[in-house]
Amino acid sequence: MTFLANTPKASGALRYTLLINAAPQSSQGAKTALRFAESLLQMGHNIERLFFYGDGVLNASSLSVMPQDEINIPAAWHALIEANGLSSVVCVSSAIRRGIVDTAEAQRHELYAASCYTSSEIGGLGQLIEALSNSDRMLSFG
Amino acid sequence: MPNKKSISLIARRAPYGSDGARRTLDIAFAAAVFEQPLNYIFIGDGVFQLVAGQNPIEISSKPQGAALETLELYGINEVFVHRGSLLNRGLTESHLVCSANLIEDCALKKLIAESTYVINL
Repeated sequence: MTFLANTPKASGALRYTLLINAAPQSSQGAKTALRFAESLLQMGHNIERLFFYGDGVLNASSLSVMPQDEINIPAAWHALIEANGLSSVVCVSSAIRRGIVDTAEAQRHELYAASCYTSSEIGGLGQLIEALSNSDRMLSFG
Repeated sequence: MPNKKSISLIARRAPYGSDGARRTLDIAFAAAVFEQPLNYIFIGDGVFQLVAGQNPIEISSKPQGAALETLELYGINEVFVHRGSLLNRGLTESHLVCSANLIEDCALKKLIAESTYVINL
């Protein structure tokens, strides 16, 4: 990738918040966000927080199954978050409407399964606002 | 929270075709709770969100206009409506649920350019 030649020095590193509104299967936005996040880290920038909102919460589904020759976007997010220790928040009101629940939410609503990758936390919009106040840039996908 | 950075929220969708309108409003409320400087801008079909007398119960939705009437109670006063979008849709200020600043193209461009963050749903 040629753009890596422009890798900034650590002093030029910026803090980014990514707001992901796009669902993983029905639009390109989630894939673009994932590739953007990978590139940011490769170039030495910091990710303050990933915030999944609206249909974007489906990116945190641990129950997605993809054909073998297609990328599993939620699994790729999970791997990226784990490998880099990123802060990843899934909006609770978007999530429970779409069946994305962690074990606590599953118990609270008496559901039979948890569906949210443990690498993401179910949280509120306050965590988006908080991340913005600590960031240099915010990009919105979808 | 440390430094205050301004957010421009751009509402550009009609109220009930997608959840964009509600999700924009939810961000506005969250920003207000954290006392984050906020511009709430209605443009394009987004101006329909502010039209008074909505009755979406018939289509199993909650009225968006009624929620927007409460913006002032949350201390959200920087509400802007793009004048051209309103006029193009045969609407005037008298059709709206709350008072808003009508804004022209140039002023809108400046407002967005001066914002730290722009969220467009």
